[in-house]
Amino acid sequence: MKCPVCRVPTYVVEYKGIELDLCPDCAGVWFDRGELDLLLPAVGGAGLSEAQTRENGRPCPLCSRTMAKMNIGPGRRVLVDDCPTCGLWFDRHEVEDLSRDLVEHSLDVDPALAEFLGGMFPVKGEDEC
Amino acid sequence: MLIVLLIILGVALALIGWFVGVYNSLVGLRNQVKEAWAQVDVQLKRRFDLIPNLMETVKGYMHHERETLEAVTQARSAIGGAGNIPDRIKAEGGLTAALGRLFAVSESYPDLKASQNFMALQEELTSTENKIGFARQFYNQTVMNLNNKVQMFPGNIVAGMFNFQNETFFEVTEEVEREAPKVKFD
Amino acid sequence: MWEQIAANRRKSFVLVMATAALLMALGYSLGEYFGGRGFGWYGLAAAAVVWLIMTLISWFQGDQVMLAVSGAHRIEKEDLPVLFNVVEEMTLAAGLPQMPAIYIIDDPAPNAFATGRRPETAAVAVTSGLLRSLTRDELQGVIAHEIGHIRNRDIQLMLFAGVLAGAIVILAEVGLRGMWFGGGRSRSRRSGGNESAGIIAVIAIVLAILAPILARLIYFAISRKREYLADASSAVFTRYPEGLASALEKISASAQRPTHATRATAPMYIVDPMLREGAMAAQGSATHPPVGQRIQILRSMGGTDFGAYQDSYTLATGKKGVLPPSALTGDGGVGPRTAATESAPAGEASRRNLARQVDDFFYRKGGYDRIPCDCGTVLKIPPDFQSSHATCPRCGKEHSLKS
Repeated sequence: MKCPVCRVPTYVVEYKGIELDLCPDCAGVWFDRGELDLLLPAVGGAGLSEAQTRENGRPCPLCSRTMAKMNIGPGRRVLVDDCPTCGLWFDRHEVEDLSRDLVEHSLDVDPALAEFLGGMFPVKGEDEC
Repeated sequence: MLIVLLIILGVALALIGWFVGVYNSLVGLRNQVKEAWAQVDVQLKRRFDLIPNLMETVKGYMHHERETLEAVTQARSAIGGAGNIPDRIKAEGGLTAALGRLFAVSESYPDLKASQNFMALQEELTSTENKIGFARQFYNQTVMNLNNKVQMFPGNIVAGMFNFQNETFFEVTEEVEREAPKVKFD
Repeated sequence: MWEQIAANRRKSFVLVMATAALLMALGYSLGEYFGGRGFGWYGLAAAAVVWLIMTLISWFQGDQVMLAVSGAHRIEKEDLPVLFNVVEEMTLAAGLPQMPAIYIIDDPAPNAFATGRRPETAAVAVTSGLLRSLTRDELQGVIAHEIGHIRNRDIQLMLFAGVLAGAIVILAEVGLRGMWFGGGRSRSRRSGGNESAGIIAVIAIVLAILAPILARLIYFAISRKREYLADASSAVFTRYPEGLASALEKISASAQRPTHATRATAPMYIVDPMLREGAMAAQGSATHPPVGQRIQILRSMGGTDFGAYQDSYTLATGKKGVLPPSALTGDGGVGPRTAATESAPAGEASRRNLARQVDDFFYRKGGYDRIPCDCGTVLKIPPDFQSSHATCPRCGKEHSLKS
C-alpha cells in the first residue's frame, strides 16, 4: 500500500491483534474496514458525518477512488478521509485527537480498542497508567 | 421331480446368497467401527502428547493453581492405566473435564492469555477437543449402525452364529463436563 | 448416512439418465433431419462422441482449471492453523477417508467452493474475504457445507450433469443454425410428399428448441437439491446449524462479488456469486435456493439430524421431501452441541485471530519482513519499503532495516 499523501510505501504495525498501516514520512494512519468494525460502534451511531470543508478528497490507497472528507467521533472535531469500501485515513495526530475526544465524552469503548488506542496513541497531558 | 429339485436348489442358493450378504455387511460395519475408533484414538493420543507442553507453558504464569494443574497431570496418567475401551472412555472424560477447568481458570491470567505460545497451544488443544468430539460423533454413528444390524431380525441370526457383538458407545459423562469451574482470587 | 448417499445417487442418476436420453433423442432426430431416413443412428453416434470428448476434457482438467481460474494458493497447517484445524474437524465429522486439500483465494468477496471428482482427490477453496469476516463457528458451518458436497459426491455429479447439458446446448445450437441456413435432405423429401420426413423435421425442430431449456432446468433442479442436502449435512456434522445460518447471512449481505467467478464456475460456490444482493434474498438463483430461505430452514430446526432439517424445510416451503426418505433413518444418537458454543466476544476474538492469520499468510507470500518490537508490537515491512528505518509508534523505538 502507498500513502495517499506522500505516495511512498507504508508499513504495518500490529498490536493486540489489531493492525494499522503507517506512513514513514508523514506519520498518517490507515484503518482497514475490518478494523473499523471495532472502531465505528465505539464512536457512536454511524460514527461518521459529512464534513464542511474545502479540503480536496484524496484517492483511496487501495481502490484509488476519491475518498470523502468526514467528521468522526462524538465531538465531530476530527476530520478524516473515508473510503466506504476500503477504510479510513487519519493524518498525523488525528488518532490522538479522536482518543482525547472519546475520553472527554467518556464513551463506552470496546476494551480491546481502548487498550489499543491508549497503548498506541497515548493521550498527551494525562497520566498514563 | 426335477422341477421340485430345481426349486429346492434355487431356494438353497438364494438362502446362501442372503447369508453371505448379511455376513459381509456385518463384517463391513464392524470394520467401519474399527476405523472410526482409530480416528478417535489418533486425536486422543494427540491431546495426550500436547499436555506436557501446555503444563510447561502454564507453570510460569499460574502460581496459585497447583490443584488444577495436578488434576490435569493425574487425569493424564490415569489414561495409561486404562485397558479396555469403556475404561479408556471414562479416563479420557476425566481429562476433558480437568482441561476444561484449567482453561476456565486461565481466564483470570491476562498475561498468560496474551502469550503467543499459549494462544497457539489453546487453539491446538481446543481444536483437538473438537476433533475428539467430531470423531466420537462419527464413531457413535458407526456403532449404532452395527448394533442395529446385530440386534434386529434377521441380522441377529447371522450375528449370533458368528459371535458379532454390540460395540460400546463413546458417551461423555455430562455431569463432569458441566461442573462449574472454581476460580480463585488470591 | 451411507444409505442416504446411495439413495441420492439413484435419484440423481435417474435425472442424469433422462438428460442423456434427451441428448440421444436430439442427436437421432437431427441425424434423420439432415441425413435423411436411416441416418438417425449416425446422429446419435455423433452426439455420443461430442459428449464423450467433453466428458474426457472436463474429467482430466476440471479441478485444476477451476483452481487456476480462481487464482488459488495451496495452504498447509503452519500457514493458517485455524482454517486447517476446522477442515480437519469436519473431515472427521463426515468420516471422509482423507482430508481434502485446502486452497485460499485472495478475493475480498466472501465465498467458498469444493472441487474434486472423488473424496480422495477433493479440495476446498475459500476466499480471504470469507476468512476475514467469519467467526470460527461460522467458518466451521461453511466448511461443513463444502465437506458435505464432497461427502455426497456432488461435484462429480454436477460435473457429469453439466457436461451433458453443455453437449445438448452445443448440439441444439449447431442443429438450429443448420436448419436456418437450409441444410438437410428432408426438405427435398418433403416436396416429394414424404409425410414421415415432415414429422421428423417438426420433431427435430421442437427438440432443438426445447432440449437445451429442459436440460438446463434439470441441471438447476439437481443443483438446488444438492445445496439443500449440503446445508443439512452441515447442520448434522457441526451439530450447530446457527453457524452456517449466520455465515450465509454475512456472505449474502456482502456487496462484493468474487472477481474470479464466471457463469461456468458459479454453481460450485456456497452462495451464487453472479447475483446481486437484493435479487439473491428474494428469489435465489437458478443454481442456488434463496439464501433467506436457507437461513430460515437452518434457524428453525428443532434438532440437528436430517429429520429436523426435513421438518423445517417442509415448514418453510410447504413442500415435502427435499431429502430422500432413507436419509431420515440410521442417523441420530448424538444431540445438538452444548459445549463450545461461542459467546459474542469470543466469536469476535476468533474472527480477529482468523483475519490476522490470513493477513500474515499474504504478508509472507508478499515478502514482508516481520520485526517484533520489545514493547509488544510487530512491525511488518513491505519489500519495496524506501526508508532505511521504521519507527514503532507505541514506544518510539527506531528499527533499522537490513535492505
